[in-house]
Formats: sequence, C-alpha cells, structure tokens
Amino acid sequence: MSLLDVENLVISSGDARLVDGIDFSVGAGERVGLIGESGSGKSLTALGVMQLLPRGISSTGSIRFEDRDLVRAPERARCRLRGNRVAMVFQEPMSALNPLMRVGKQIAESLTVHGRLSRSAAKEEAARLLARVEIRDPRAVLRAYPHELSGGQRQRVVLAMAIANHPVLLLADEPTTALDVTVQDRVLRLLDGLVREERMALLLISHDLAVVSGICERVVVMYCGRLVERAAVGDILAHPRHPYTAGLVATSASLGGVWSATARRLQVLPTIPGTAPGAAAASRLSGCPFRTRCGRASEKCLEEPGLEAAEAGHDVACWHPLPAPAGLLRVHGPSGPAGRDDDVLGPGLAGPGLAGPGLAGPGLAGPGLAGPGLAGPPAPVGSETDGRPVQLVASGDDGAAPILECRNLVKVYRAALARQGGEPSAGEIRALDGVDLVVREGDVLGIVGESGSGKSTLARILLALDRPTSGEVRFRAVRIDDRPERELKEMRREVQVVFQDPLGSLDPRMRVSDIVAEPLQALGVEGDCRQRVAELLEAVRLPRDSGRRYPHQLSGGQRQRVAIARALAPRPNVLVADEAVSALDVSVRAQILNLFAELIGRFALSVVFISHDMGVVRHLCNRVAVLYRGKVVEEGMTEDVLTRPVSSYTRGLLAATPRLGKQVGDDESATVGAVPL
Amino acid sequence: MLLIATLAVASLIVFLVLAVLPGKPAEVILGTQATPGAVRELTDKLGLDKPIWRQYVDWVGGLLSGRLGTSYISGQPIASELGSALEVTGPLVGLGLLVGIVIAVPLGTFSAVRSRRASGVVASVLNQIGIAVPSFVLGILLIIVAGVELHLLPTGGFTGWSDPASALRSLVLPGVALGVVEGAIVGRYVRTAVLDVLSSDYLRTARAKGLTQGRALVRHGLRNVAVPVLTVLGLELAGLVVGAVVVENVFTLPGMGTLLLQSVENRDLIVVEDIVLLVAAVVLVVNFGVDVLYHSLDPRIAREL
Amino acid sequence: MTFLPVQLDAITGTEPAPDEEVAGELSLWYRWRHSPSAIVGSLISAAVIVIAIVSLVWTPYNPLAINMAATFARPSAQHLFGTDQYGRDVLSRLMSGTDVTLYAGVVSVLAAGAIGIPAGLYAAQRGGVPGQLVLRLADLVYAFPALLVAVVLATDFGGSTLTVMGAVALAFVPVFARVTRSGALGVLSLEYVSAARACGVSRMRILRRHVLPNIAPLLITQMTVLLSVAVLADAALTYLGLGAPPPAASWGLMLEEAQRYMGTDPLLSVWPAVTIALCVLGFNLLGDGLRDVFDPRRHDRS
Repeated sequence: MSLLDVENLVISSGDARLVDGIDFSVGAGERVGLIGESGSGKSLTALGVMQLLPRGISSTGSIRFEDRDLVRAPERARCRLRGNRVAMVFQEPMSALNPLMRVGKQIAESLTVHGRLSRSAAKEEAARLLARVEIRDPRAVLRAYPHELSGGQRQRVVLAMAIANHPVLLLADEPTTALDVTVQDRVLRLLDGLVREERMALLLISHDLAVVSGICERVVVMYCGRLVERAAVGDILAHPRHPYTAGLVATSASLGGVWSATARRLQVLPTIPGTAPGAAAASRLSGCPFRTRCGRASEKCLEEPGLEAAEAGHDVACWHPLPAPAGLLRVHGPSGPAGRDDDVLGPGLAGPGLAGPGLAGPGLAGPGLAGPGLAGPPAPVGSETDGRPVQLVASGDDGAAPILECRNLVKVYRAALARQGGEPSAGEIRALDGVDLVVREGDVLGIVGESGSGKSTLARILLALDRPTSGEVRFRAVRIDDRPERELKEMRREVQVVFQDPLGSLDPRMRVSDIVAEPLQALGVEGDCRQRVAELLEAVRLPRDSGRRYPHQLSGGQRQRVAIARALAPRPNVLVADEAVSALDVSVRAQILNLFAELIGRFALSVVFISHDMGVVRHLCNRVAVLYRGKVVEEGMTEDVLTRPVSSYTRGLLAATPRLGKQVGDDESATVGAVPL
Repeated sequence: MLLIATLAVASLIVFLVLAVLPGKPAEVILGTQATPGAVRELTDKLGLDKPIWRQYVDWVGGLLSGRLGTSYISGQPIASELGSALEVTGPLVGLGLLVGIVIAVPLGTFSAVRSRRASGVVASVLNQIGIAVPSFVLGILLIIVAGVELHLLPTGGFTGWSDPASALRSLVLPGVALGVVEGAIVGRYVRTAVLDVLSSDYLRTARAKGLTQGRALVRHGLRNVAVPVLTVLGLELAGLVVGAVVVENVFTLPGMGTLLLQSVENRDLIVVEDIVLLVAAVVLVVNFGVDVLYHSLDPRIAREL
Repeated sequence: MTFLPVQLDAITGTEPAPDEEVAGELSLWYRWRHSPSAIVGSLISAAVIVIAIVSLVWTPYNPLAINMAATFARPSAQHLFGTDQYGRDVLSRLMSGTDVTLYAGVVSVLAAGAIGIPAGLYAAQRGGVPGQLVLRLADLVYAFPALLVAVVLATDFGGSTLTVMGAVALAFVPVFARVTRSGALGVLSLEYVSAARACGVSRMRILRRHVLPNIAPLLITQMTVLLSVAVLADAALTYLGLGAPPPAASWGLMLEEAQRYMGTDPLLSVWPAVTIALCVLGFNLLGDGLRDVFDPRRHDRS
C-alpha cells in the first residue's frame, strides 16, 4: 500500500481533458520525479493531488492519500491534511508569498493554522525553521517582506513553510526553475537533505531530466496530459522504452551529459521532430498523442495505447516500445555525451538531413579567416562520415580581425531602474564593471552568466541599443557607442540580434513575411523583397505558407525560427543571440541549436551567444567568457574553460550545473559558498 | 514641493482664464445700460484697474491669509458665503462616500467570489447598471419614487444644522444618489482586486498550508484588496465633489455647487475663481494624499517616496 | 535494427502549428461571441447610432414644434412617449437628442485623443525631463474636472454645445495621455521593438508600425468608455444650464425642464433619465466587452 495512489486521474477544463486518466503512486519515503514539457499537465497533476486546482478546472478519478480519497473527501478534511500531512512548494517563489505580509508571520501561520502551536511559540519555531533551510540571519529574514529577499532566500522560505509540520509527502512543482544555476544547486541539495532526514516522500515535478535524475529514485513521464512511461531512474536513463522518453533522454544527454576534454563541439544534436500540440488540441487527439512526432508510428497508434509493464517495474504506454538491450546508453561512460552513440541515434541521423550541396554557404573563407579549425565544407553529416560529429565552424583564432570589441565597458543604473531586477540594494547598480571582449571573425563567443551578471546589458550595448556609462564599443575598429543613430546604418546591417522570448520578440500584429521583411525595408536592402523573404523562410526551414501567418499561430520553436530569419535578412556578419533558446522546451531547444549551428557555418557568421546554460554554450561556442557581477571573471577556449576552469566562480557554476545521472551533492569539489547568497 | 508648485500653476491658470479673457467684468455686472462713469467707479472699487500681475498677487495673497475677497454682486465676504455652503456640501460628500463604501465592498466582493455562478453575474449586472445611471438622473428618479409618490423624505431644500435631524433627513436622498454611482464604480475595482487575489499564487500557498478558502481570503486578501481600492476611493473623492455640485442642483441644496452656478450666471468672477481653485486644490491634495497612502500601504514601493 | 524516433529536425524541418481550432479560439470573433458585455453593448450602441442617424432625416414630429393644444399628452399611438409642457413630441425630442449627444461625445473624444495620444507617445518615447513635464502637465489638467472647465468656459463665453465639448475634451486629454503613455511604455520595452531598432528602424517608424497598432485595442477600448462618460457629462452639464440653451432637444435639458413638472407628469422625467442611462450603459458595456475581446487574460475572469 503506497502513501499516495493516483488512479485514473482526469483533470478537465470544460470538455478539454488536460490530464487524461493517469495512474501513479508514491511510496512512503520514496522520491518520485514527474517529467514533462510545458503543457504536459504535470503541474496540474500536482495541484490535483493538493485539490487546489484553479477555478473552472475540475478533477475526477481517485487520489488515495493515507487511506483517504482526496477527490471525494470533504473540503474540511482536505484542509486538515494540507500543509500538515502533505505540503507543496511552488515554482515562482516571489508570487507564492504574500507581498504585503512579513515573512515571519507567513511561516508562523503554517504552524498555527493546524492548532499545533500558540502564536508566540510559532514565532520561535519559525526562526528555527529558517535556520533549518540554511538561511543565515533568520531573525532579520523573519522581519523582512518577500521583495526584500533574493530568489533563493524566497524559495527557502517557501520550503520552510512546507516542512513546518513535518509532512509525510512533499510536492515540489519546478521548485528551482526560476532560480539561477548555482542557487538551484544549493536549493536542490537542501531539498534532497531535508527529504532524506525527515523521511518525507517527494514528488518532484520538473521539465529537467537532469534535475530529477539527481534526486529521485523513480520517474514518471507525462506527454500531452497522458502518462507515457514510468520506471526507476536508472532504467529510464539507460534504456527508455517510449520513443518520446528516448528522444528526451538523448537530447538531455547531449546537452547536459558528461563533460570531458575530448567532447567535441557542434555535433548535431539529436532531437524530437515537431512540437507537442497544445493541451486543448491534444485532448481532442485520439490515439497515441505522440504519434505525429514518432518515427515508429503505425496504423495501430490511432488507438490509444494502455500503460503496460514492459518488464518488472517498468511500464510504458506504447504500441511499439523500444526493445531494451541494456547498456545502450552509457550515461556514465567515459566517451563523451552518450546521445552521440551511433546506435542510439540510429538511422535518424544518417538521413538526408543536413547534407547537400546547396548548404555549402557562400564565402566561408574570408581573407582573415584561414583558421585551422575550418573543416572543409560545412555540415556533411551524411553517410560518408558515419554520423560522426563534425565541426561546422571555424574557430576564430587570434590572427583573425576583430569584428566587434569592447573596452572597459561600464554601465551604471540608478537604483530605481535596477530595482526591477528584484535585487534590493540602494544607490546605483553597476551592471557592467569594466568589461573587455573581442569577437573576431569566425568566432562563436559564448557569454555565460547568471541573472544580475550584466549579460543582457552587455548585449544591448554591443548592439548599440543602449549607451555605456563609460568605455567604448568598436565595430570593425570604428567606435559605435557614441554615434548618433543615423551613422549606425552600416553597423545595423551587419550586426543582428535574436532575443529570448520567441513571442515577445515578434510583433503580434504583423504577418511573418512582414516581420522578416522589416529589416530589408528599414535598411534599404536592394533586390526582390518577396523573393528574399521566401529564401529566408526556407533557410530556417519554415513551411512555405508560414509567411501569411501571425506569430500566435506558430509554435514556440517556429517563432524563434522567424526571429532568426529576420536577423539573417540583411545578410549580417555578426549575430548576437541573447538567451535565444532558454524559453524553449528541451526537444525544441535542440532543434533550434542545430539550426544555429547550421546557419553559422552556412553564412559564415561571427556570433555572440549569451546564455545562462553551460551545456548550450559548450555545445555551440568555441570561446567562452564568464560574466559575474558585471565583470569577466574568465575567458578562453571553451574546452579549456570547461575542463580546466581557473576562477572559483566558474568552478562553482560548472559543478552546480545539473547533469544526467549526477546525484545532487555528488560533486564535493563544488565550491559551494564561493558565491555569496 | 511638487504639490505646492502644481497648486501655484493651477491658481495662475484659473486667474488668467477667468480674470483676463472675458473683457471687463464691471461692464458685465452693470449691464449694457451702464454709464462709463459707473463702470470706471466699479472697476476702481474692485481693484480691476491695477496691473494684472498685481491683481493676481493680491488674490493669492488674500487666499493665503484666509481673506477670500468680497463678492462683486452681493458684497458679502466670500469666506462666509462659502463657509455656509460647505456646511451642506461637506456632509453631503461624506455621506456619499459612506454610502459608496457600504455598497462597493460587499457588491464587489460578492460578484468576484461568485463570479462563476448566476448570483455573481446578477450582482455584476446590477453593478453595471449602477455605473450607467448618473447621480443626477438617479436623484430625479429618487425624488419621483421616494418623495413624490411615497412622501418618505424631503425632496429639496435645506433647513440648516440648527435642527440636525431635519438637516440629515434632507441630505439622505442626495447622499444616496451620490453614493450609489460612486459605489458602483468603486465596486468594479473591488471586484477586480478580489479576483486578482483569488487567482494569486500566494492565496494558493495559503490554502496549501491548510487554510480554508474563506480564512485565506480574509487573512491574505484584505490588505491586498485594500491597496488598489483605497487608491481608487481617493481618486473618486474628486468625482464625489463634482457629483455633489450637480446633485445639489437637483435637490436645491444651498451648497457650494449652487453657489458656483449662481456665480457663473451672475458673472461673479471672484467667487467662481475661488471655488474653481478650491475644487482643483482638493483634487490635487487628495491625489497627493492617495499617493502617500499607497506608498505607506505597500512595502514594495515604500522606499521610493 | 533499432529504430529511434530521434531524428534531425532538418529532415522534417516542420513543426505542426497549433491546430486551426485553437487558433480559432484566439480570434476576436470567437471572443466577442463569448462576451455577454460585448454583445449587449454592441447591440445598444448600434441602436443608439442608428437612431442618431435616422433622426437626421426623419423624426415622427418636428422636435421643436410647439402644439399648445396637446400638452402633457399621455403615451399613445400618436405620441408613443407622450408630449411635454409645450406639446412637443417626446420621442422626436429624444431621437434628435441622440444625434446631438453622440455628435458632442464623438467630437470631444476624438479631439481629446488628437491631443492626448501624441502627448502620451511623446512622454513614453522621450522619457527624461521633457517626458516628465508632459506627465506633470497632464496631472495639472486632471485637477480640473470637466465640470470646472465647463464652468469657466461658460463664465467666459456662455453655455453652448461647444462649451460642453471643449470642457469634456480638455478633461479627457490627460486620460488619453496617461493611457497612451503606459501602453506605449509597455510595448517599447518589448523585444520586438529592440529587434526593430537593431534593424535600423527609425523611432517614428517604430511608433507607427509597432507601438500604435499594438496599443490601438487599448485606445479603442478607452475611447468607448470615455464616450459613455462624455454622454453622461453632456447630460449633466446641459442639465446644469452650461450646455445648449433651450429650446434645444437635448437630454439634459429635457430632464431639467421635466423636473419642474415632476408632480404632475413624472413620466416626462423618466423618459430622458432612462435614455441617458441606457446610452451610458451601452457604451460602457461595449468598452468592457472590447476589453474582454482584446485581452483574453481578463476574459477568463468575467
């Protein structure tokens, strides 16, 4: 008898079944991960267990918790259980706390509401709880309002409220997604420790396979509101049976797998084609929801597959599950990212794919570009290379001409503006504090930093969208930071940008073709505009008819392709990408990264790729600069920085980055505390 | 500081528009039959022969020292006329505010909490209708129903505060007419604020702690609803003052509005100037007060002030 | 042979778009049909506009024609709403009043928009001291409600429809300026504006191509709501004698005159009262409905 038994749980809004009959259980003291991409229904499932679904969304089925069916139990009984026997930690710690109530009072409330402690005793206990979640100055934090705390502190406060009454089951809904990597690592360690010490059962909801694999024993995979696979973590990583899970594992492994000096960049990432249909659309889909993206799909898949045991403790809902030869996926193996194994990628990689003569873009070999890394014609991921990864791009070497550079860049914001960043501090904020960078022709420079590192400010200044407080920016040796807009025409044509938010970076009231044509018109690029737009859409592999569509009619990945097409329109030489893949789901992220890699080679782009994600930067960039609090703390070739980091911050960042198969707290060399909270 | 500067600019605008634009007040007051001599005499007496900047300084100086000047027409000191008018308008606005709050808070809360049920929709519809019926229209309808048909309450006139009971009775209908509309407008904001709280993450957190929906709403909702609603309430105070001017006219109450409209009709410029500036000042001061209140209620922006 | 669905997206290259049905749910028409406010508001507003247009060419009687033989007539087949103290047909007067009210309302809203919207755009685009100055100016104007402006104008020039329009327009200018500014600031902070700037699109062109189209729903909604306020203000000011003088067929004036005969003929007050309320309700609901239609996030709540 498990602690929590969910049977045939259906969560629906109107006639849309957002969660469509899922079954899983969590045993006492067991740690279970619930994996799914956006719209998979994983968060709703957690809220369903708490019976705290948003208004207008209802649930049926049975949720047995400690011999009580939460779906049918009276609200009064549920209130007695919530926060007491079962507690929850939410994704966004800022909005999860009442902004107008002091933290101490909010924690104390958890203790008094179940009548366990008096008000004064609760205050004492609240301080103890804050110490328990490793908050340094509990007394001060008790008196603080939520906005006065950092993101990590807030999530610790939420965690303290959740464990206040020693619940037997803790639900954590993406508890670290809103946090920086280093903070995420520390919060995950804390969560892991608490769960073990308190002998709590944990249901960890996440989109990140690496995070789940670091803490949990078992994994439940959801896709489009349906449960597609459940098994022990090791089994899921080693031999996933559902094609979707397999794709997810392969993608996650190649981006967040084992790092070593021999790991080569710019191999083509394995991806899952297409995107998941939206929740409402998926609920109308009959049969297997994954069949439209599945290479194994057959007629049979028009019928909905049931969840069946593939082997002991490993259930899968698929008509054509993958066979399970053990050891296919050597996650812990020494030979670099497991997803690269030929067997895993199989014939998918050897398809027609990227190869083809038309792909060898114009003029890779510029005069100053004779780099040793220039590996012939780009993108021959065809049969002749046997799927071996090939570098698509020249590494910029020191001999190449600098194309974009900045010297001693300083940007100071007044506090009133900087406050939006959530960091409470008085006076002025030095977003950039003396940054020197050089981008040479053919460079793919990664800039890694956490929130508040100044990386987006740097992007805006490099693009001459903002002016630095001091210091200079040069484009082809000409200063641009002090030029009026009208003198920047040439630079604007050559330096283009791709932003993070695929929806926010496209005007919702313009058609795709108009969006892509905008720079052509603004910069007066000659030639047939319509023809050029068609070429660009082709280049980013958007369907021909997408030009007529509006951004909201496209999926997230397609929108980012439009943004890339717009950036390529004026035939730029430099591309600045600011967190360009961060907002995308894992499987789509890999597609876009592959597109980037291909386009960099095809159009001989020099790139500044800004990201918080080490895995992404490692994959794409030949050089890396690590930004911390407005300063470049480390810079060098990607392999060097990632394998032999010099600065303690970089070491901490690398150690904190979740990797598949790496247990939370495994890596004791991690310099925890190198970064003040 | 900003408030004082704004007030100074406002006074200058009022003065310029009213004292300079419309030609010679003395001619207007004495009518077309007046002899040039009489006009000159009156102009001297009113101090209108002085340079304009001097007139402005005199006026503002008078305002600052509490001397509001003398009515061109009645020859009465404006301070006393305005004072007795405010004895009516002040309580009327207060009553309107009270009625407004008494209507807005329950109506808005109810229609938000029950927004997915028929009763909540009905409340919402009533609310919309309340907004659509202007206070003076409602006043007239109230007179017809409560006064003319039912003979419940006085429908006009004011007997003065020497008999407080009767004074209050004559303010009831105007107060209700004024308050219902304001209540309906503020009620919409209450509804929005309560809906915001209901869908907030922190309310969900509170319920995850084991609080019941009602208790969570009271403990975590009240202050979060109060901040936006108090802001609107402050801004609507200005609306109440303006509404009072119209409602006084409906119920023939001798308040500030009646005084203002009389003075407009008589071209009693200095009275108009004083009242217009007074109302503008009230609006500016109230807006400023609301700003201060807003900042003190919300710790997130407290530091900005 | 193992066959994994792991493929290069380069092979397929295409992702399924959100299906048509979902796209359909996003359409304005769909949301309009699901917003009771929008439906009722559109119907009432349309009726008001049609009546105003019809009254230009036809009313049952001449709204100004006095007929002392038929004063205070009860509603009948000849005079649907009866006649007033001068025997004038109430329905005809209400119809012709619709025309006047709507005209005054639309002109004042458009005039206010013509000043307020550019001012708001300027304040948003410029920021700094000039932007602040525009804001302060808007605050200052905001301190003079339409009634005060009307009072001042009436003192200077006497009461007329023009007085009312001027007063209402001036009072609306700061509203437009504020709404436009905050809307434009929101759009200007979005990444597509940054992307456009990085493409070398000029500031004026960004305002025209990106900002204005994207705040247009906001402004249209605001205009509709302000139109209802304008109707209300027009009636109130005319009622106070600051608007069109008698014998004009204006709702406020009709109400003012009818009030004198409240004891003898209360219906005479009820007709214009109900008309004013219905008209305000119509535009108000339409504004509310448009907000639902344009902003689906709010739509969920109502």
